[in-house]
Order: sequence, then structure tokens, then C-alpha cells
Amino acid sequence: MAETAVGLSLEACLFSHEEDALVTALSQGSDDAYEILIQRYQQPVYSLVCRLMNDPADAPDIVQEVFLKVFRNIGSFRGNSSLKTWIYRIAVNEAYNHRRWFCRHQRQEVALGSEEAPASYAGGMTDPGRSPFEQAADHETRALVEQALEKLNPKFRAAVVLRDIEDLNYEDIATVLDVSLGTVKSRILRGREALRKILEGRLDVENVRWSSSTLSGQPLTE
Amino acid sequence: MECASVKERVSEYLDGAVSVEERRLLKRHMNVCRECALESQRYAELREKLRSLPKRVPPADLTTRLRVVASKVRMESFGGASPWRRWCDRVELSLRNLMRPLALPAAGGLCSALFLFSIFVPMFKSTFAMSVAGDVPTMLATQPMLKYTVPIAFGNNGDAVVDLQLDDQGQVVDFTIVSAPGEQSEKVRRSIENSLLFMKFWPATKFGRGVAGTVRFCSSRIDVRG
Repeated sequence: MAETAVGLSLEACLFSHEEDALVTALSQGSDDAYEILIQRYQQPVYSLVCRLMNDPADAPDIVQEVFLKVFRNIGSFRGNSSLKTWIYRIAVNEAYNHRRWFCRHQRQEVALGSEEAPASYAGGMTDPGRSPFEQAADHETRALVEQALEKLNPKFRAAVVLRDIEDLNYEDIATVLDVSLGTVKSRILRGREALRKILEGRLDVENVRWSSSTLSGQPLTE
Repeated sequence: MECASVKERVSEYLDGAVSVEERRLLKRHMNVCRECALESQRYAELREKLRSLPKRVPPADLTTRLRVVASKVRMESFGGASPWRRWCDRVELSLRNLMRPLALPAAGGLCSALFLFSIFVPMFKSTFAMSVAGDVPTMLATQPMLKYTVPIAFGNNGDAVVDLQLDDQGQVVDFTIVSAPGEQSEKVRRSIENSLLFMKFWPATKFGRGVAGTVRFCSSRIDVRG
């Protein structure tokens, strides 16, 4: 059996050549390798796809497609880039394809409610050192940033998300987006500019609103 | 360095994607140009806001869906079974699923039937064939058996079949001619009666006690030359 031949275990994947071992095990059909891949990349891929799509309800289906392609084509992975970059490239392409398909076949029906629960923002939201007021302000700011991201041009948006949220370097972003390094730099710059312009007015308004409410609330708290 | 080119490079500067020399020039410019320094600060703040966005948590069923996909792909790629074998497996699985609910009731019914059969069958069946003469186990019924006879023949040529009614002592109380050549003749009847005088029988038994019974007696004539 492939599992016994490979002898891969969760512990073994913690060593230096774990990615090579993981890819080898995947191409030999090891159950453990599939499980490790799912556990390791499910959340980052889901997060990336969510931020590339306007409707997060579509993200699980796209992530499923991404992993299907990864499992089927792992044999064609040559190791020219990291496994993460390769998977991200598939995810970005899949999200683009879905977006194109969505634009061609505009949805006729209107969803009654989003399947995405607000609880999905849980984790990282609660900070015991911050007051409820500050936490609410942070929440508001994050919501504005998310909305601004949705308004960005998809090409700029992908570059900004990969750089500032997924923390990929320029070379990896160029590989993921299959463009030159210069194009990556340009897209990140244009994306940030556009994002800043969208946010500028809104955040100023929000800051004023929050500041005025703080001032008006001060006597009550004292 | 001009402000326009600084603004073009500020994004790369923040990401550390500029050379050491460029970095030095940009820093020097920002120390003297408040506008460009503010621009850089705004980008830095924006980057912090983006970095502080919470991670999206996948729905609970996504892992299960991905495991199903993995299992499917693994079976497709490494299953190794031929289509015929897969078809056989599917049929076997369907049959097994079909029969499984019936297995326990059927086994229970069979065991119950065997148990009841073993209890009631001695009451319904009065006679059992015995293979060993004289060995009469109690609780069982035996058929009457021939004790001894003499080498005589019934009728003219000796071929005859007669049903004998015996009492509980093994004595012949009556007989019926089933088949004999010229069975209606008085001569044959007398010949049979004479023969019966020299025959002795073990009576039929039930639970070790003698009871009346019936035995079919066949005789055939054998001529020996010499």
C-alpha cells in the first residue's frame, strides 16, 4: 500500500524537507498527506478566496474546486515555486473563473440572507486590553476596509490582498498572478492608492463621528 | 529625488523592495519633504489596517467536503480496481445492505424452528428405522423384527409378499396377502399359514414395551443345482 511505502506521519512533516515529503506522499496517494494538506491550506485558501470574491457564500464551493484541482494535478507540480504559491495560483485562477462565469450568467434570484455568519469574523476581534468602545470602533474600521476592498479593481485587489493580507513577497505574487515583477509593483501601488482614496473620506467621517460621540459621552462616564 | 518619483516608489519602500541606495535616497527626501513623509505614513497605516483584518474562519462542513473530495480523487487515481471489480463490489454491497436487516430475524427463526422441531418430533413420529438388532434405546419406538424362520417357500414357486399383524408378544394374529402367484387359491393360503407356524418375531416396542405392530414379509425361491 502507498501509505506503508511512504510511511508518512504527521510528525515526519515537521522536518526540513517536509514540503517535498508532502508532495511525494500526495503523488503516491497517502491518506495522511491529504489530511495534512487540508489542515494546512484550508483556512488560508478560504480566506484568500473570500477576499477575492464579492459574495463569501460562494467561497466554500470555490475552495472545494481548488482542492479538487490540487489533488488531481499534484503530479504536475514541479517544485519551481513553493507549494503554497502553487495552490494560491490555482485559487486565484479559480476565483477569476468564477467571477467571469458570474458576470456572464447574472444571478436571476435574490438570496434571502447571506450564509456567511457574522461569527466568521470571530477570533482576533476580542482584545481584553481594549474598551468596548474601541473594539466597536475597530470593528467599524475593519468593515469599512472590507467594503473598500470589494470596490477595488479585481486585478489590483488580488495583488493587494496577496501582499498585505497574505504577506507574500513580490516574486511569489508574480508567480501566483502569472505576471512580471514590474506589473506586480504597479498593481500593488495602484491598488493601495485606490484603496486609500476610497477609505480617506469614509474613515475621516468615521473618526469625526466617533470622536464627537466620545466627547458627548464623556460627562456620562465621569 | 523628485516628489513624483518618491510617490511612485513609496509602496515598494514600505515593502522593503528597494535597493539600499534607493532606500537611503527616499529616506533623505522624506526627512525634508513633509508631504512625502505623510504619504508614506498614510500607506503604512493602510497596510496596518489591512494586516489587522481578522482571518476568515471556514464553515464547519468545509473540512468534511474536502475530505470527501480527497477520498474520491484518491479512489480515482489509486483505487487500482478494474471497472468490472468495482461493479461487483457495488452489487455485493447492495446485496449485503439488502440482506443485513433480514439476517437476525432469519437466524432467530431458524433456531426457533430447529428447537421446536427437536421437542415435538418424537411425539408425532411413532416409528424409527433401527439399524442395530436388539439394541433398543428407551424413549424410542422399534418395528417388529424376524426372530427366526425355516427355509420354506410360499405358494407354488415361492415368490410372495405378505403383511403380518403381530400382537405385543410377537405372535402372528392375522395376515394379508399383498402379492403372490395364485393368491386367491386355497393351496397358497394354506402354504402361507403352515410357514407362519415356524416363524418367530420380536414384537414392536414403544418406550421399551411390546406393542402390536405390522411387518411386511417377502420370500423368494432360490433353486440350487446339485
